[in-house]
Amino acid sequence: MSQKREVWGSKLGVILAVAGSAVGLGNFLRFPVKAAAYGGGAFLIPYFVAFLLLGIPLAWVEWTMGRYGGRHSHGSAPGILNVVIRKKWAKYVGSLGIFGPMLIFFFYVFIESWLLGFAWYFINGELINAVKTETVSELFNNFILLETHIFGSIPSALFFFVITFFVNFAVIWFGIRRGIEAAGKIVMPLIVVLGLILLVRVLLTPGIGRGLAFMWNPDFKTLADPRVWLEASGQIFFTLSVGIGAILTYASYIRKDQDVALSSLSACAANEFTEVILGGTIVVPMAIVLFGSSNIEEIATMGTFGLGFNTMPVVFGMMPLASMLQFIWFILLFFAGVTSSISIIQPAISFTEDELGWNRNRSVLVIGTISLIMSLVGVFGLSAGAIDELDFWGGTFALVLFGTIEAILFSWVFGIDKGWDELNTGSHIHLPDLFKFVLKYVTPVYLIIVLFAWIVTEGWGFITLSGISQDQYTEFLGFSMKKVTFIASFRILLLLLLLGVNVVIYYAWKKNKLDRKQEISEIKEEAINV
Amino acid sequence: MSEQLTVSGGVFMLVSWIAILGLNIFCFYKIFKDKKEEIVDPLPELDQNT
Repeated sequence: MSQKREVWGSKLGVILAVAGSAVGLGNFLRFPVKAAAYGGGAFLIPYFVAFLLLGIPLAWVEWTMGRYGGRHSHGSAPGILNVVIRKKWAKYVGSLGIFGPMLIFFFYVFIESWLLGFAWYFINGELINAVKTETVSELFNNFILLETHIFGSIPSALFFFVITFFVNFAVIWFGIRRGIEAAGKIVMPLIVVLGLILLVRVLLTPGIGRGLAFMWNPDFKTLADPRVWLEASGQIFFTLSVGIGAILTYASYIRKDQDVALSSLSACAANEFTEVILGGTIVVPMAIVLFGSSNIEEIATMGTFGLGFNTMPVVFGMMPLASMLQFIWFILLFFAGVTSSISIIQPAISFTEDELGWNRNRSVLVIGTISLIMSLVGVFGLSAGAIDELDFWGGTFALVLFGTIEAILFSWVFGIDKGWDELNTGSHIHLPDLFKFVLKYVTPVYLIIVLFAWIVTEGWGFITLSGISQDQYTEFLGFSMKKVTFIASFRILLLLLLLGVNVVIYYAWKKNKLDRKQEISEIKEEAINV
Repeated sequence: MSEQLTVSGGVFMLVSWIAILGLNIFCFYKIFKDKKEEIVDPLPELDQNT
């Protein structure tokens, strides 16, 4: 085990890094689509309820457990849960906190690279031409399906994917302070400035009242629909990056007595600023103003990527300073994406450094190689459904499941009294005792309900492939096969990866058996002294 | 749903903005107030092999 670990240079640095992890495409695209589709202003009621009862408490849980684990030189979920819970099985449960974010990383970097590609299309004028000839959708579809080329015969999407991939690992290679913290300190203020430029431009658009009406006029009838509450809870979960394992890892690099309560709240607040104020005002209102509310349903059904890549270039293309706004839009989202993706691969890097004792070169090389191979499967398997699978298992299932497990373990196994004391150690704000009750009862029950409701309404259909017919065929690397065969094979591959992660955990603990025993006895001694 | 921003829509938007801006001001005011905690120690050497 590595004993000498890096620490964040400043409190602001870790807050901006965590906020950067949380701020991503979802803030600018997913939130406005959900709000507009599920009751407009009324959506904000379940949304803020979930923020208070689910988002903030779970973020506190992760920051607290992360700092506790970091104190014992552990920066990833297996090690952190092992010292928090002190049960043999805890480290294997923690495998979800490495496996889940890795799956997200495998497809997220590819999506991130689309943004860089579209920023390039602004520079070479192709995007403006596509807006004029009304072929933006065609450009987007051809791009992601590797049918557009650059420098001769290199698929453009592959080219931008490789650049984006190396940008991510370059930041990771520079480490916590020189890499991630430095990136957060530059990128987060830049996101706010670029977002504010777009916000001011949007608010000065004639007729913006119609767009804001669609986004904010409340439809209270929707509050009776349980699905609205589920969607609002899901949005809070995704937007705050809880349940991924990234916050656990980032928090493990703060000093042992440094505040977590205020830092966590600040990161959540910064995320909400970009989501509700910037995200809620820019996208949907502008789309409504320029396309008219008669096209509302069509706009809503375009979903996140449709809005981001097809609608927004057209929206900005119809405004003065079109090309500049298009460039700002894609670079803004690209930066937001990079600060998120570096956070979701860091748990795996920290695991190899802390538990296997690898140096950073080796960690970056091995995790980078695995990620590159799996990401390329996603790139070439996009039309076959590989990215949908990664998004489901990593970006939804593992995330909600792991978040629920964390909340239960923190309050009921670690113990709410001990957890509450740990949370308040070094705190710069006084937390109301009401939140102790919330952490113990409300958040775990809330999460269990969200998990089951989500499985019943959406998850089960996906797991059982109910939307795919047996005679549906797909292509992967030139081979034609049944889509169900491809998905079943891909699921086996993911299962093997999960198994592999657990084997490595077993090996790491076996290798350092004496260190672990000493560590546990130290923790017990520490507990007795307390 | 009304084509124009209604009073209740405006209230929802304003209250949400004020709540979020208020939370941000509260948090970051406290963060910046504690300047003494900003720098922990000098930046470590860039040695990837340690």
